[in-house]
Amino acid sequence: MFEEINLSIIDAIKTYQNMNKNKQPLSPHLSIYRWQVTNTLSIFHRLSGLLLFLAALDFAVWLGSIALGSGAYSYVKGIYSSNFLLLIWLLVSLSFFYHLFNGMRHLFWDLGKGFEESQVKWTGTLVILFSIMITGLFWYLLLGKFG
Amino acid sequence: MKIIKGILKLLCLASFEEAKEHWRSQRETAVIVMVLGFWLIYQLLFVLPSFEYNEVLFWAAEPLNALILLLLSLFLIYHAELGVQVVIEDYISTENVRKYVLLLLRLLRISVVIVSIVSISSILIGGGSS
Repeated sequence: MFEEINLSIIDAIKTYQNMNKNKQPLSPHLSIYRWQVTNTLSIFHRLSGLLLFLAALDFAVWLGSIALGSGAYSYVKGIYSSNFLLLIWLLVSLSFFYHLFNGMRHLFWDLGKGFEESQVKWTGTLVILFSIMITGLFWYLLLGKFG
Repeated sequence: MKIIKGILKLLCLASFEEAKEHWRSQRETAVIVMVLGFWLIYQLLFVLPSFEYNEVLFWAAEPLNALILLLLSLFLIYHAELGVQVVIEDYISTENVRKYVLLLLRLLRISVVIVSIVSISSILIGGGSS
């Protein structure tokens, strides 16, 4: 019986490899994943990280513009406060808080805590709720202050 | 020796980290970015009076603020590079392409390190060119 199961796994792997001839399989295998809360959150962690990488570049540009003087600063400020970019900052702030809270969850896992399936699920839900709430609070305070 | 190696890594003067070293650095920088990130949020919401040039310059030229802004920028791009490095290694299987994308990542980080250091120094020394 176990041999049969093994054989079917090998078949599945072979089929997958044939689909990607001459290519190494991509890891993690997004296309054959069964989508559920846990792996969706994990992928969001990476996506938000990538967006935050771009935001880190923008942060350096902002610092540079302060050093260059008021002309350069107003130019960058003009671009950064355009409607489109404001939408991006909203996404960046959501990514920031999500990556922050989910990162804490990762750190707890590294300490060996919170690994039970039920814990993984409720902490994951908490991370989503928290990041949306804190992002809302952040923009409420920010817009209240700067209009 | 350990602190010197740490400073070299922060300034992007060390090679790509692997395995255990990468794992440790990713978590250490995560905690530091977390603390400095909270500082920036606090400053934006409760300290910085407006986004007018003079106000921002005055705020950034405050020596403690300048130091924290520099550290934030350096640790942020360090942590970001560690993360993006793994994504590249996971998803780009062609070795040649991977090499060049990693090189591009390095160039972006070096640019950020240079821009951050030069900008903060210039803000501290001259307070901007008005």
